[in-house]
Amino acid sequence: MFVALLILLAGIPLYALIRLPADHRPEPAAAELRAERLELAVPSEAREHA
Amino acid sequence: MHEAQAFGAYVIFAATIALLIWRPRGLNEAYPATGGALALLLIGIVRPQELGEVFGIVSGAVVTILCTIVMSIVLDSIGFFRWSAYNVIRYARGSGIRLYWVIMALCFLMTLFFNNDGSILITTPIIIQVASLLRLKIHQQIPYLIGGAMVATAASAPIGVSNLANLIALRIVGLDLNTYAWLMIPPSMAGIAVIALLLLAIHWRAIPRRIARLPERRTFTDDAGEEGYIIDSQTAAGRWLPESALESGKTPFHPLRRADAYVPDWRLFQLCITLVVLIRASFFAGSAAGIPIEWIAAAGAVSLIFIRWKWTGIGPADLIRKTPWHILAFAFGVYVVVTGMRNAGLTD
Repeated sequence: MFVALLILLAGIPLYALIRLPADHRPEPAAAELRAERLELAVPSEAREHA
Repeated sequence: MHEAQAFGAYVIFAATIALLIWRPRGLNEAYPATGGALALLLIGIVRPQELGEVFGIVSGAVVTILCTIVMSIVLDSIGFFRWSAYNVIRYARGSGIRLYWVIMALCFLMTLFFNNDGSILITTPIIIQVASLLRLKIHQQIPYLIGGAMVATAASAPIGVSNLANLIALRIVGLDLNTYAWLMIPPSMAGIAVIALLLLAIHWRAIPRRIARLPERRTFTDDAGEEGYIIDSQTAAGRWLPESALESGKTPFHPLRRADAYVPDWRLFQLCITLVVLIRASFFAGSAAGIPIEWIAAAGAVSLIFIRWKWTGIGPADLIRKTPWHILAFAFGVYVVVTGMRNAGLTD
């Protein structure tokens, strides 16, 4: 099990070498979902008032 | 056994090895191995009933390596490795020596998580791309290429699953993966460190002290909707960026600037990295529990193929085309030749 743990730890630098830079992480679906949730979170009266 | 039979076996062995090394007209290495095995069967040095025993020893190792290769092909097809050239330059932060160590780390990790042959096939184009992006001269590229290939090869020693020969040897001597790793991790890690340090010392003068660095965080979108980086004048000053880049205000390299490039999905990447690391760790946990590693490897390959299909809609057709199936014939043929040599008394 110790070797398995070592392999898991070695996965951290692999993750760092393969990762996309922060500027290039397209998450349009997540952004749309967040926008939808924000819209739902605002009460309809408040939206009318705004 | 007749002396003539034994002599014939030695001649077949020598011819097989010569053809494997020579490979006339790029002959696939599976042909000499299979030919040698058939010739040994024909002259009666290897008995047909021994083939089942050979298959039992070789098949598990070959399935494990083939599954690992399939996994690396799946990952390459989703652009998994494309970003590593970019990240290697980023982490080097303008130092040629730091670039050397980052490349050594990349080659080591690729072998650790895939296999030695796959690692060299994946990392050599990455190193060449990095060298051309940084406009390194030929003699400056050599330390990175030689060091990368040496470390990628040596990195198959610490754990048994990174090399087909290791897996077959483990099966023959009856050693389990965890015991092998316990025995081999300390000396082989020391060996890898010595290789990397010696190559660094030998190539010390050839390695450039300062290299180009990529500016970060500042992006632009041009009229055609193409994304890229804006060169920061402070970052560009004194670096080796080409004139054209300074004039146009764009860096010479961006993985997404290629016409055929697509925007990769970071969540898919994260899922794949997690799966690859977990599968590798499972080899050792599973081996301790008595689970054959080829089952774990097959489960891992099937999982990645399924994830890619669900995420991108790409089926397994390209894998059937790209997977080097001849490894099965090669390993089986070579081990039949080895069995023939044992029967002929060469190993006594």
